[in-house]
Amino acid sequence: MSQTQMLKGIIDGCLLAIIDEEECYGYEMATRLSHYGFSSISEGTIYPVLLRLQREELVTSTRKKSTAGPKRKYYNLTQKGEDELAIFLRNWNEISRNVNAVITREVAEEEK
Amino acid sequence: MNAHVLSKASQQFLENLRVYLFTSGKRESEINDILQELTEHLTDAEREGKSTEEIVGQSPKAYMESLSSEMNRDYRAWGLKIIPMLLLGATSFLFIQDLLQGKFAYSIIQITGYLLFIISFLGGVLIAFNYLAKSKKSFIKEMTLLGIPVLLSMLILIGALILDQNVVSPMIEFGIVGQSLLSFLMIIFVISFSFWARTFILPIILIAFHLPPILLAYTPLTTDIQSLLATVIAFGVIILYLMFMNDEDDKKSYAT
Repeated sequence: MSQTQMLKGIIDGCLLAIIDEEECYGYEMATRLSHYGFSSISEGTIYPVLLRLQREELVTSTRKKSTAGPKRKYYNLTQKGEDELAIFLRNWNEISRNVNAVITREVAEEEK
Repeated sequence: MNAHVLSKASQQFLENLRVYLFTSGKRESEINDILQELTEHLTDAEREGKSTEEIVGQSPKAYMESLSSEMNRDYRAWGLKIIPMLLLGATSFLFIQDLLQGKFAYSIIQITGYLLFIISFLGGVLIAFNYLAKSKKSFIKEMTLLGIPVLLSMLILIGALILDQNVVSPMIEFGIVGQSLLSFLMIIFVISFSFWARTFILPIILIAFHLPPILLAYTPLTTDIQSLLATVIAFGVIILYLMFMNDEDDKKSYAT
């Protein structure tokens, strides 16, 4: 399975977490994602996700001057977005625990 | 910070994306929004030495589709604005010649033929553009794909006109009042269309095709040479206009 396919849905949660930390615009999000290790996905991937998050009213956006100078579109979490982030974190913790459990057991059996 | 001019690849991608989203019937404000955001992103990325591919991925086609699937269709604008405008634009082009010659009577078959022609022509060309915008095709392939709807709609029109010559159908005539009223409406429409579409392509085409023959009729040239000259002038004027506009566009856009 390709990373892109596995990441569907996970990127949504990651963007919510990044925006929750500090309001930011698309390019900053992409830079942060790759800074945290997601360097294999193309930067543009975030925009369809942002469109979806906006439509589901999890984020809002405003255009304002960036620190670098020109205007950029900044994203903020809504209350609904914060709730969604909390759900994502709970789900993610459970999934990663379960996946790890499955994998380590498999490894343990191979070693026998 | 210095103005950064986007690379050809990025400009091409943005242009194709605009055509693709527009012909997919997406809302104009949303199209402008996402294009602005992507232009900014590409600008920032290119300043840091990244390539277009690092942003849009290896398949611009797949990327355009993923953007498009998250955007709303604008049925109202298409139903009430864009399609009627395009239909009227094409109609004005077909009828203005008759108007200039003072001929204004049509059979039911003729009118039906023209309508079918316009609908199949515009529908086919829109579908072709939508398909072409997604991925880079060779020039010949592009022309072929665009040629199919043009040819098909022409066949429909020719078929209708041949049928019209062999079958008698009721005529609809416009009196002098009707003619003047239609001429007036046509002129109003052409002017408002130009402002709405922010391009003067329609009046330019109308003038390029219809004015030279009228002027050439006053010259001592033979009719064959007249019609040849008229065609050359018409296409010359349109090509010059398009080249001029292209230049203007290049100067205006993409500098952030």
